[in-house]
Amino acid sequence: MNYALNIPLIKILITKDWHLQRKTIAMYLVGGLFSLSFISGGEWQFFMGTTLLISALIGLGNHQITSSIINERKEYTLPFIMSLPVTPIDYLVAKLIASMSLFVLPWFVVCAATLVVFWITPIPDGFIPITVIIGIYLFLCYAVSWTVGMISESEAVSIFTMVFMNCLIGPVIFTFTRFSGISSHVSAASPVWNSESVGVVVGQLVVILLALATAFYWQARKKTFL
Amino acid sequence: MNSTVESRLYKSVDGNVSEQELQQRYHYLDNLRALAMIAGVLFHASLAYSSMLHGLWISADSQQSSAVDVVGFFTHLFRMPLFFLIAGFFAAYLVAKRGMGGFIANRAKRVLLPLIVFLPLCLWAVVAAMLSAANTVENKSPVLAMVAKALANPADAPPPPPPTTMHLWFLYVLVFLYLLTWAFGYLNWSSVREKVIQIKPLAFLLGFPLLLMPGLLLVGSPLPAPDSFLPQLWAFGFFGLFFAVGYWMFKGDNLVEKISSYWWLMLIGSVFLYVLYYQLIPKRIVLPAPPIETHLKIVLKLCEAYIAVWMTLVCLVLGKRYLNGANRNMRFMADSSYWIYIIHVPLLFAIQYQLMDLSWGWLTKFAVSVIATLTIGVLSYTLLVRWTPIGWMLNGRRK
Repeated sequence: MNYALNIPLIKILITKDWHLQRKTIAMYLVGGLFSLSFISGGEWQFFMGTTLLISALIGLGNHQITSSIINERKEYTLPFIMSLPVTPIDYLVAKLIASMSLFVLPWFVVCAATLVVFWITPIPDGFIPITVIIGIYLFLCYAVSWTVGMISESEAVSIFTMVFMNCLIGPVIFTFTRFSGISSHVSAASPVWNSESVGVVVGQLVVILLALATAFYWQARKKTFL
Repeated sequence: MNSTVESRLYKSVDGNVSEQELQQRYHYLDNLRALAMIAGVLFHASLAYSSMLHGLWISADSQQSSAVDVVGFFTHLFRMPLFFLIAGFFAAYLVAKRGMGGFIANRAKRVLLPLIVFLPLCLWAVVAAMLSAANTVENKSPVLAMVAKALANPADAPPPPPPTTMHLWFLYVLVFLYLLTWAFGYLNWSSVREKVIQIKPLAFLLGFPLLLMPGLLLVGSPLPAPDSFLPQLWAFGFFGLFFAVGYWMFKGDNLVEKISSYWWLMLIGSVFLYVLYYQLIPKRIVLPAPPIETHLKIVLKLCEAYIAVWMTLVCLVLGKRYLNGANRNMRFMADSSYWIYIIHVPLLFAIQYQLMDLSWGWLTKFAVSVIATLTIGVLSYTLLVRWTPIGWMLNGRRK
């Protein structure tokens, strides 16, 4: 396996994805800003705003995977890319950097803004561990859906994975809030990071890394796109 | 942003915007913006002598006058709307001149960077002056007395208020409006624009204020400052719409010419509505504000919406008529007003704390605090800012 990356071409592919995704990002930015500005309006506005914010984040991730990975195959952009001097691993690195930068930045802003809400409002800071866990779970959903999209290149499988992962958000919140090490501290004035909450975060990060490593391993085995 | 002549013209200039429009300097808008900022200094200085805000303003003096409230809260209704309308106009100007990328880069330098640099400094200066005043001032305001009590008994102190963007909130809101300008730039507005152009001036004057109502109904009266770090929906629905009108104004709708014959009607109408408005607003503002009846709130918000729109347009008409010439003094004021506005609140507080124990009348104290603040602002601008990197950051490099 040859891992010498074609850096100039990878840069062009990343720029191409950024360019093609700019409208999507712009529209989700408007949605995200609207949701964020809703949060400070009152109690029901807070719940509506946070729900809208999480929905915008999920929508951004799924929209991006569909348009940059699935549609690339459906609209025959991939055969064109195949004609370029690019290996599957170059393609994967370009997709990883483009997708992650387009998702991770808004995801990070949303997570940071949520933590600011805890800082500047009377909501107990004890909610921070469960909030961080939910935030990382959203990233995990994206990473797994992205990996499945890259490996399967199938619209049906990718959509099924996205729906399945996002359906798990409710059960995940339900399950983690039942952990005594997490649930018993949500009303605390300051966040409590114990073995249970740290363990869940580390476990999620391991799954994310495993998912990305699987995509790399899969693509590295390929000699051509076919 | 200075609308100075620059040779660089962006290729994809909107078809409706001529090269001449991009090359000309909009003196009246530069001057109006500067006046709006200086009016902000006067407004904040006057709040120390407001009977309405006595319980909430930290430099509130024992000398108060309701005349301050009558004049101050009238200007409060259209000063910032005018500012945001002008900001929208110059946003469109920059997009046409430099393209979206150039616009974002320019705004990051002139708006985002000053916010990041000066907000912590202003916060530090305000807190330092407040801690000093809590120990030295005899005739403390209710808020300052509360601070002194909290410092004396930290165990019984109420929780500190959440951090705010203070008087620099307008920069914070502008950052979001610039992001929205970029995002909405991807939409096709031509059909909307065609419909907007067909609206008759009178219909605009009567109809546009109603669009402000959803945003205004989300907050109390008089209008608070949207100074939270959490973006405020009402600020987008109110100031954002003025920004949008300013943006459309640049696209050649000749709004000022169309409505110029109505300026005196709008002025009289605004004064009439303000008389009604002032009768209805609370004479002492308390937090949290007590609930008011729905019909009363609607009347108050209608007054705010119509006064804000009409007086903003009156300022534009009169500004174009009387402030549209090149004038060295006005140019200096336009250039220095941004710096003066940024530093004025900590300065005002520091000066007004020193005046609180004096037995002077409120008007004398007000005049001294304003003159001292403006003098320090102008001197510091001339000596430390105008020809230095701070001046380049705020107004661009001077040629």
